[in-house]
Amino acid sequence: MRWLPFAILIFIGTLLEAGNLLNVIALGQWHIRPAVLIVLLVFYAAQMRTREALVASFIIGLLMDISGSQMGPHTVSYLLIGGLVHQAADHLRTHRINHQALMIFAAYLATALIAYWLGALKTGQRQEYAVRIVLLTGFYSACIGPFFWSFLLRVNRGLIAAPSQTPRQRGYFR
Amino acid sequence: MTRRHFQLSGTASFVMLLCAGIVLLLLPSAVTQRVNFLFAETFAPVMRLGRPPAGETVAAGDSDAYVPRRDYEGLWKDHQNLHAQLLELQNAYETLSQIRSGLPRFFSGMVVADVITGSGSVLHHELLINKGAADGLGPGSYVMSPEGNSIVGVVSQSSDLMARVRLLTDANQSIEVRIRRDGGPLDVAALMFGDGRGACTIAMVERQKDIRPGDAVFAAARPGLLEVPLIIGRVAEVRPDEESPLLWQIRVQPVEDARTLKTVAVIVADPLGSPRR
Repeated sequence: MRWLPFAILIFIGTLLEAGNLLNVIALGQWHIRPAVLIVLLVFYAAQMRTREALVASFIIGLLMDISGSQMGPHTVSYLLIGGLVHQAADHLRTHRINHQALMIFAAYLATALIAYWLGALKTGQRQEYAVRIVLLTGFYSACIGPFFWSFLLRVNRGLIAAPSQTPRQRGYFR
Repeated sequence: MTRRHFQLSGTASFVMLLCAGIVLLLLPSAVTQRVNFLFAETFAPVMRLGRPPAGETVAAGDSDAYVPRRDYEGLWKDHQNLHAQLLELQNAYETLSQIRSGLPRFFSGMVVADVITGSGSVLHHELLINKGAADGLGPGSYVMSPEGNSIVGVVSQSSDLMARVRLLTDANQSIEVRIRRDGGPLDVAALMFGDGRGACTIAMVERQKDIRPGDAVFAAARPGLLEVPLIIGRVAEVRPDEESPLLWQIRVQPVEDARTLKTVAVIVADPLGSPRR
């Protein structure tokens, strides 16, 4: 994989997550915004080789933490879920929109809840409506994610290496 | 020359990266927040693009007989603040009439700051502002709306050039308040918490207290930071606490939707050694 397009895309994604621009499409009283970086996480984790997928997941999680207010929770959760998505991608048809949406929804739910619990362990901060907010954000991201996905496919056309690993070689839980 | 090429297995890469993540997680926030602020300081111009979350839209009245909602809210806040100041002045006057030495006048500097962005996470109600420790801001400083007539949050973290403001509606924010009523003797001290949904709750108030919807809620005065109580919101709902029937569960609606603000004013603490006026 070439890392330059990846770096540019996650940089733009991080700025979108941290900035005001996504407020334009925020919904409801909780101002639910789609999670851009989770789409990148699922896309790259599903498309890349094992080691690259793990490094990409780690970097995306790290940037998610840097754009927030505490370091660590997203780095760990994105790494864990990125690895799992990488393994699960063998059994899913990632070109199907409903499979993409399902992966984005599940990945967001898992990463956000793990990051929330780790953050609560670190700072003691809790939020009564966390699960509800996470569910709504995950649903919104899953609705919008496949459109980003097709954009990412176009941007990365020919840049992602052809799969040189068989399904049995992929993943780290073997 | 032979070059040895090391290649980590997938499992080894995963373990190594996981260890790095755990180390980051274990590092104290005081150390890691510098990275967060460095990012925000560097990319503040880009992060400002867009707009703050949409607030409640207010329709203007057709007739001159009606005051626009926005004007009404402003006047109501000013009235409540003036009333609170009047009560404080009355107390001060009574004290001064008994003792000849004057009351200490605490320094209260005001710093106006621009909001760079709202919270990056929907789980937290926070603002990132472009003034920091270099301007005297520190954790605990009160943050007011731009007109300077209502408290909207408290500074939770600060770097030299920036600060993170936790809004009163954040689920992890608590503040000492006083509940008062126009023209009545009601003055109840309580602790208010954000509910994480754009409102606040007050618990642990005895049901003997005559609290009603519409009563005003003020941030309690704190020497050096807040000389007189300032309005936060009004009581929206009062009902018995489900777990402790002898107590009230009070819901407070802030008068300002702080997430829509573009500018805020921060009250800074008395700098050490500054001359008393």
